[in-house]
Amino acid sequence: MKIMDTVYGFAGHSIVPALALIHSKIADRYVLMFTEELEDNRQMFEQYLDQKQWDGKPPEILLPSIGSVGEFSENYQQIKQVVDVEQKYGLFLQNGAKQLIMALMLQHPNAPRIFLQEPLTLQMYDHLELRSETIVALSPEEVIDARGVKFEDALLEDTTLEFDRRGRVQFTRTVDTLTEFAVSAFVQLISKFGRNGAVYRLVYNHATGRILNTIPPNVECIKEEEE
Amino acid sequence: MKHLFCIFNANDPTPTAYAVRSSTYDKVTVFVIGQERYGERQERALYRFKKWLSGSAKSSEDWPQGLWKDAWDWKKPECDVQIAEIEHISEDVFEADSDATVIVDLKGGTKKMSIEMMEYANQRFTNPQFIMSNIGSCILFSHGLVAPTTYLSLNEMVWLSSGFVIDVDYAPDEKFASKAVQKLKYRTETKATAMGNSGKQRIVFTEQYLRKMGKRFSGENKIDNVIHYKYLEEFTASALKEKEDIVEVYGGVRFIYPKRVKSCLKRAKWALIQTPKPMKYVKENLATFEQFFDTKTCDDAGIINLVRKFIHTMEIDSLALTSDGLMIGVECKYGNYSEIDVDRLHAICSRLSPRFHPLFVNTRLTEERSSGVRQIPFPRLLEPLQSLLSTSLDSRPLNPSPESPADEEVVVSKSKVEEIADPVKELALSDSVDVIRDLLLIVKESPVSWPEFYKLLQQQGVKTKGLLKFLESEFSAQLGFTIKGSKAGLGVGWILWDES
Repeated sequence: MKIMDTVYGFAGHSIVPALALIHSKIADRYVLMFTEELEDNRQMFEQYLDQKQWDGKPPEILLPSIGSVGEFSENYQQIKQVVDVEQKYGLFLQNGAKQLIMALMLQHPNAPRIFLQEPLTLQMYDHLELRSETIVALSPEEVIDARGVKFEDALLEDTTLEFDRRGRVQFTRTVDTLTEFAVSAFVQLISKFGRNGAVYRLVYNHATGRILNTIPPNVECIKEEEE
Repeated sequence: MKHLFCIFNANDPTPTAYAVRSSTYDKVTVFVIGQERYGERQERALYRFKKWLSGSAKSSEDWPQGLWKDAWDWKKPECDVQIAEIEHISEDVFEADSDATVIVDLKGGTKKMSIEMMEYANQRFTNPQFIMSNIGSCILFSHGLVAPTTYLSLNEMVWLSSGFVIDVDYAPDEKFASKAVQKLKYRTETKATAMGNSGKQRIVFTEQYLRKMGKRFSGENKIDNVIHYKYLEEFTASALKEKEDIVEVYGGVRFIYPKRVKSCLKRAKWALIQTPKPMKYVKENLATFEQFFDTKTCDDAGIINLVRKFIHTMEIDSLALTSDGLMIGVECKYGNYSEIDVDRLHAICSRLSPRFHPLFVNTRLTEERSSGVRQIPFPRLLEPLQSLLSTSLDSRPLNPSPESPADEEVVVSKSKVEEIADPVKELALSDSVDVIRDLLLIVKESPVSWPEFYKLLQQQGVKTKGLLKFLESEFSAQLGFTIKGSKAGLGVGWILWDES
C-alpha cells in the first residue's frame, strides 16, 4: 500500500524499527542515515540487503553515512542534502539520537511523521494527528538475518526465537547446566542486537555461582524448579 | 526579554539545569508533566532540582553552626524560574509576554514530548527559537549550529544526579600537575622474602622523582611508604587535571547526604568516638567532642573541622568531570588490594548515578578488569582520556620511563599492613560487637553497600573474616534484619530491615 515516494530516517541500535519500515510497503524508496558510531551495523545491513530475496519488486534502499552523533553542525548540513523535497516524502522518527530527529523535523516541519508503535504497527501522523496505521508482517528469523546471524549458528544452540508482546525479538536458551559457552554466546548476541534491542533469557537447572556472576545484568535468568 | 520554556527531565534533573544555565534568561518556565504519576525516584529528582534552583543543598537549619561549608553551595540562577505542573503539553501551557523572545529547549522529556513541545510552541508563537542544551554547549536548531555554554560545577553535577554534595581535600595545582606528568619516573620493583626473590613485581615512583615533586624522605620505611601511597592519589588527580577533556578534578572526595543531618552526625560520632582506636586528638578532647554530639554546638573550629571530615556516607580518592558530563570516580591502591576494594568502587559509582564511571589505579604491571571496573597501572593515566574510558583492556606492556635508573630493583618484602597509610591492629569480631552494632544502626538509616560496610569495619581495625555469618548469628534477630548476600550488584539492598 504505497503512500509516498520516499521515507527518510535514521538507523538506531535496534534493527527491528528499520526492518519494519522497509517491509511495510508504504514507499518505493527508503533512505536510512547511519552515524559513524553505527558503521558496523550499516555494513551488516548492507550485506543483508544484498542477499535478501523479496516477494515482488524490491524497494530501493539507501544507507548513507553521516558524521559522528556529536558533530551536530556537520550532520545538520548533511541531512539537508540527503532529503529530496521534489518527491512526496515522509520522515521516520522512531530511531536515532534526539538532536538528529529534531533537526530533521525542524528542516521539514510539514512532512508526514512515521512512528513504530509496539508491536510492529507503523503509524503515520500529520503534525500531531494520527492519519493511518499499517501492520507489518515480519518474522524473528528476518531480524537475526539482518544482523548476520543464522538460526543454525552455534550461537543459537538450544535457543528459541520469538517476538515478545512488545514486538522485540526474544532469545530463550534452555540448558540443564549453565556453561561459560552459553553465557559467552549471549554476550555476543547482546553485542549484535543491543542491550535493549532484544530480550535475553537463560533457563537452567544447575549453575555455579562463578558462572552466574558473569551473566550480564540485562539477561533474565530462570532456574527451573526441580521435580 | 528572553523567556525559556523547557521540560523537567523526571529521572535526572541535570539536563533541565543545563537548559536554565544555557544562556542569560529573564524568565524560565519549567514544565513538570504528570507529576501525579511520579514515583519516589522522580519526586527525589524534583526535590534536587528545586534545591539546585535555591543555590544550596542544605536541607534545613538543623545543621550545627559552622559545619556546613559555603563551598558546598553554588551560584543560584539569576532568572525568574517558574515551575508549572501540567497534565500534558498543549498550546495553552505556553504563556509569555507579547514582547518576549521565546526559546524552547527540547532536551528534557521523551522524544514524543519534545515533538509536542515543538509543535505547540510553533502554533502558539511566531518564530520561536529551538535549542537543545548539553553540558558545555547548546544546539541552536534554527541556525544548525552549536554554541558553547558555561559548565555546571562538579558539585552541582554530583548533587543533581545523586543527591550528595562533595567535600574535597584539594584541587590539584596547575603547575604541580604539569610537573608531575612531565617529569614522571617510575621503576619496576621485585619483592624479596626471607626465602629469596618472590618474583612478584610492581611499579613504583622513583625516589628521585618524588624528591623533585617536593617529597622529603625520613629513611624510616613506615613513614616513607606513606609518601608513596599518598603521592599515588596526588599523581592521579594531577594526571587527570592535565587532560584537555577534563573540566574539573579533585582529590580526596567525600560524599555527604545533606538531607539527613542526624545520620551524618551519627556517622561522625561512630568514626571518631565509638571507634575502638580513637585518634589522639579525639582522646585529648573527648569531653568537647561528646558535648558537641549532644548539644550540636561548639566554638572550637578545630573540632568542627575534624567532625566535617567524618560526616560523609562514602569517599573516593579522586573525582573528575569530563567535558561530556561524565564523572570519573577513581580509587588508588599502592600495593595489595582485594576484589572487595574493586567492588566497593563499583558500588559507590553505581549508587551515585549512571553518569559515574569507575576507574581503579594501581601499581601492578598489567591491566585487569573485574566487577565492571577497569584497573590500570598508574603510568597508563598519561594515555588519552578516551582510551582510559574504553571498556577494552590495553594488553601492551608498560614502557619504561625514559632515563629511569636500573630497570628493576629488589626490595625486601613488607607486610600488607605496612602498605596502608594508617595501620591498626586487628580486633576479633567477638571483641567488636559494639562497634558493629553501632554501624548497623547507622546503616539502617543511611544505607551503604556491602563492600563499603566491610571496608568501614576493616578501617576501624575489625577483623572481617566471617563477618557475614557473624552479622547473621549475632545481630539479625536482635536488630531485625535479613541478609540477602554479599554480591556487589545488590548495592544497598544486601541487608533488608524488618518493617517496624
